[in-house]
Amino acid sequence: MYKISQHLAWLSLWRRKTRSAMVVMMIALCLSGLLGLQGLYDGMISHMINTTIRSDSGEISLYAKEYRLNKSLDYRLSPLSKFENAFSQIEAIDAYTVRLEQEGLIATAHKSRGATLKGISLEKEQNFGQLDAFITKGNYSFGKGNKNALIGSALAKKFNLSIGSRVIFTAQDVTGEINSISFRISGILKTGNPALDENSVFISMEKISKFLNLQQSATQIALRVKETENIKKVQDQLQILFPDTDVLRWDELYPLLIQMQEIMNIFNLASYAIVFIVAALGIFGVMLVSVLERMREFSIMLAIGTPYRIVRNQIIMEASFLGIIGFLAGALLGGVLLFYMSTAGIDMRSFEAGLELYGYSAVMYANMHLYYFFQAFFAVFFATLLSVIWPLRKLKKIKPIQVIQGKML
Amino acid sequence: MLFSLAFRNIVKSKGRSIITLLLSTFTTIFFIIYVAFTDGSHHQFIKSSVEIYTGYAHVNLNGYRDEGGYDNLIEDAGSIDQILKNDSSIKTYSPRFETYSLLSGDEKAVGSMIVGIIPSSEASLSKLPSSLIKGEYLTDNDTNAIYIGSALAKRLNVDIGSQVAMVGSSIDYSIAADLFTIKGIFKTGLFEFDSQAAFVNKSYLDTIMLSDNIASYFTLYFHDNEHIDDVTTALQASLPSEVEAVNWKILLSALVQAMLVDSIFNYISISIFFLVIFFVIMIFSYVNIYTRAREIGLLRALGLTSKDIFGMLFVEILLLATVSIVVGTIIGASIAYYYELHPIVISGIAETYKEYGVVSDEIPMNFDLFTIAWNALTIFILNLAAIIYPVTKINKLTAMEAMRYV
Amino acid sequence: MKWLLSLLIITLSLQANEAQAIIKKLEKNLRGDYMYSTMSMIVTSKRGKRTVKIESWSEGNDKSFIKILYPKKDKGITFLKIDNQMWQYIPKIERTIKIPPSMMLQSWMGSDFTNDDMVKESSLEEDYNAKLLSKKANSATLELIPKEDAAVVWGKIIIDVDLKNAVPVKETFYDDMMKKVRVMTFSKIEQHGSHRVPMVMELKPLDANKKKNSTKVIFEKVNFDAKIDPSYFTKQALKRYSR
Repeated sequence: MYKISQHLAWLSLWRRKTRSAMVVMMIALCLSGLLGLQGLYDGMISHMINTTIRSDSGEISLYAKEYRLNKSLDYRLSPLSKFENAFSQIEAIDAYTVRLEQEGLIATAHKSRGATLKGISLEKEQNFGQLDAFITKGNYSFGKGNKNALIGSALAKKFNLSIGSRVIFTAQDVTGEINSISFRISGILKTGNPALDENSVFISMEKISKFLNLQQSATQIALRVKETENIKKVQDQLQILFPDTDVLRWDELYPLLIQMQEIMNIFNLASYAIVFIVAALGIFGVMLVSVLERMREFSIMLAIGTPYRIVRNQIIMEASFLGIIGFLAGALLGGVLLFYMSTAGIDMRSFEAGLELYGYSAVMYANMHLYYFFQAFFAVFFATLLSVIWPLRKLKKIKPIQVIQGKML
Repeated sequence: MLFSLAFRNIVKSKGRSIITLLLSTFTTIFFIIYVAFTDGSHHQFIKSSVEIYTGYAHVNLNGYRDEGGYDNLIEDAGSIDQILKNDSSIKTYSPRFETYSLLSGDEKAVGSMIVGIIPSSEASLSKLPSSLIKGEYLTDNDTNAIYIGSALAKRLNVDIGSQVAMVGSSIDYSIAADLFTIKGIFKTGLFEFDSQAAFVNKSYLDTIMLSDNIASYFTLYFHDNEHIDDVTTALQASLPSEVEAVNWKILLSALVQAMLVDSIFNYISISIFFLVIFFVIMIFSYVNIYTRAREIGLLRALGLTSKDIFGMLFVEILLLATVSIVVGTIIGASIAYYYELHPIVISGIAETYKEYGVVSDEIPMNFDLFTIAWNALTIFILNLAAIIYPVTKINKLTAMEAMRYV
Repeated sequence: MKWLLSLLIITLSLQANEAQAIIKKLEKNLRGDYMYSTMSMIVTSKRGKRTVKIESWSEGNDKSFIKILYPKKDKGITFLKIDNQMWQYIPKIERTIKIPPSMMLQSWMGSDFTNDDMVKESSLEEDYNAKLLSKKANSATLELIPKEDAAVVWGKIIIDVDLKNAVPVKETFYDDMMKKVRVMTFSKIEQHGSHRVPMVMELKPLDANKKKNSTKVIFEKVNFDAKIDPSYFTKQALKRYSR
């Protein structure tokens, strides 16, 4: 039964090639454009969130109370062992890293500037957020004897530093005494996180502890909790264990990121609404016209005894074909676009200064998720169904004899 | 005759005409508001960043921006002052003397930027006076009063009435030192600024810094800040050769780029919207015209040529489009105008975006007749372009074929 | 072959040792256990010439106390340096402040010396490895490379030494890329007690836009032999000896 309708439907579409092509093109263009934009925005935001989590806060960060308002060494987490023991008991924690930092002055023979010195463990950071992947020059190591340093790319650029260059860092230790320390650069990092790239120098935890006259201390401990459901649980657990410490999630530390995500979700919903409207209207328009055009033809079919449902099914199938082909074309085009943007990325390097000011990387990558296509499919599917309602009503009202006689309008 | 036919057609099929009108009107209104809103938000962004402290343009000695220090100061501020006073394009201006000194509450000393300003002039040039959160702003008669950023006050552990010592170097490199009393505390929302800047009455600071008749630069506010490049170039012509006039586009270049990126994204979004609207109008015209196929066929049979048909349909859409554009423009423009005067308040936006320099929750729309005019024109053309395909299609049918349509 | 090699090694290490010995002698001569001096510092810059008269007390390399005598505007300002810390007292506002890290590389009293220079004035022996580049009868040229852990900004310092008097004649400072940054020259050698010292020192930065700048220090009185009261090297001294 369906075969006849299907066959007829397909033929009808081919009879009106241009018209069908127009609808398909309309749906395809809108769909691919919106898919592309969605992927790009999604990519940008998840990149930002990812960078922040990997290079800074992790899913959860611990700070001594007061530290975030007043970055003094007086507010530190100590002794580390009590924290590390607690972490080993909680399974949901995938990795953690310990950082000790102090603000001070970085200098060469020509220039000096404020900067932050951060003591880290290379191994822990690599495990934590693959910090090694951010190395653009040199090596991910503190060199022989762990005496060298890694520096942010923008900072290196300002001071004209390259691998092997020597810099001095001057700061106050925990007792308030001013000390200086020197090291050579063994690697340059570009994380995409402006706070790091423009301001930070990394040395080993041992070296900074000695410099600051501290033992077993940290200013920040960051945790990775990869399963999203566990994040709140772990946070609550740790807060009970350490009531005098700030235990905060990344979205509490950087509410802006969540805001951006929410704006993006709204945008996506709006986009799908638009695709829906376009598909519905397009198919509606074309179907209505083609039904009206063929009133005489349908009347003849009905008059010779064709069951109503065959004619009805034919129309539904015509609409469905238009929808499916439009969707496939759009998905294909959109897919190619997304694939290109997610691998090669969009090069906006000429706007580098402005973008990096706001934490965006100069080369943007799109995300590509299966659910984009599913959402689009549903939008088009429902649009198709909705669009045939009116034409079908018109069809229902047909009085075959009168149409054939030319009396019905 | 075509005209009367067209008019009759419009009036006769009220349903269709109304839908077409609504579609175009809605699109016009939406486009106008969208552009007004995005332009407005950019303006606000720029205004916030520029007006917090920097100002719309600076006049400084060549080389000052690269070197800083005391080697490239304007040594005869009085003569520059005269030039600026007599320049009709400048609304307000004021000299500033910036220096990096130590401020200390007790023994702890913090490196800060101390600026000598003329308090009364600054009121109309920057957000300094309005950022006051505690105490009072400076007056032109103040001596040891200092107006300090909130985060800096916190670092130094001082409050209104506390005394801070300032130690720096005067123009001749001798030690400049004095005790100041905190008169007011300000909070602009820009942490970097609030944690490093403090202001003093210039005439008093001059006595300590020996900077009388000397300025680091002059900050300017033009009457026409919209055409800032033109006025800056014009001003440059009247300044001596060793002095340059630079506007915020150079002073805040990263901001300029960020705005550009935002604009690009906005244009992409609106283009997609246009694509959608174009198709919607086209489909609608398509349906419209084809459902009148029979009637058109009749007219053709009666002797109208395809050219006439084209003309008639074109006039129809012209009339409808014109009405919708006019109505849409009036409504859209009124909304834009209203919201320019009473900006939209999205509470919380300042808090969230404050590190980007956004300090106000208000987003006024930008009411600009020129922009609105070309917005309306674009929709108008879009309307006309949308019907081309359906109309040419229908003209390809012969009269007989057309009359067969139901 | 082995014999040649060992000879080479011995010569080199002798040279290094010799260089190190020269530096040691230099510092001992210039610094001594206690030193009292008065000097004029003339700073030339784009803005003109400025003269500052200074009185100075120091104990070894680690402690020094400086008092400004002239001009009148700056008279009574005192500085105290102990190890890496520096304090300043300004009589006009009766306040003592500690120089924070962010100001360490700012110029001292407007001269071409930085606060950091004042704090780290003499640590050549401690912070550098010396190598002999050339030696003649009465003079030698040494190359000083900073030790691995030394917190100094220079890439190297080349010193021309007057061996007879155990004083430097010229010190050239290079940055990390081995580009010349500044030159210090010493002249007018005089005998004071058991020490021979250059009475005139001039520092010239080589930066293109600092061409006109120079800082000249002329010692007036120098005394190595009297012990200095340790009370000079306390924070109380800042105010007490200001007058």
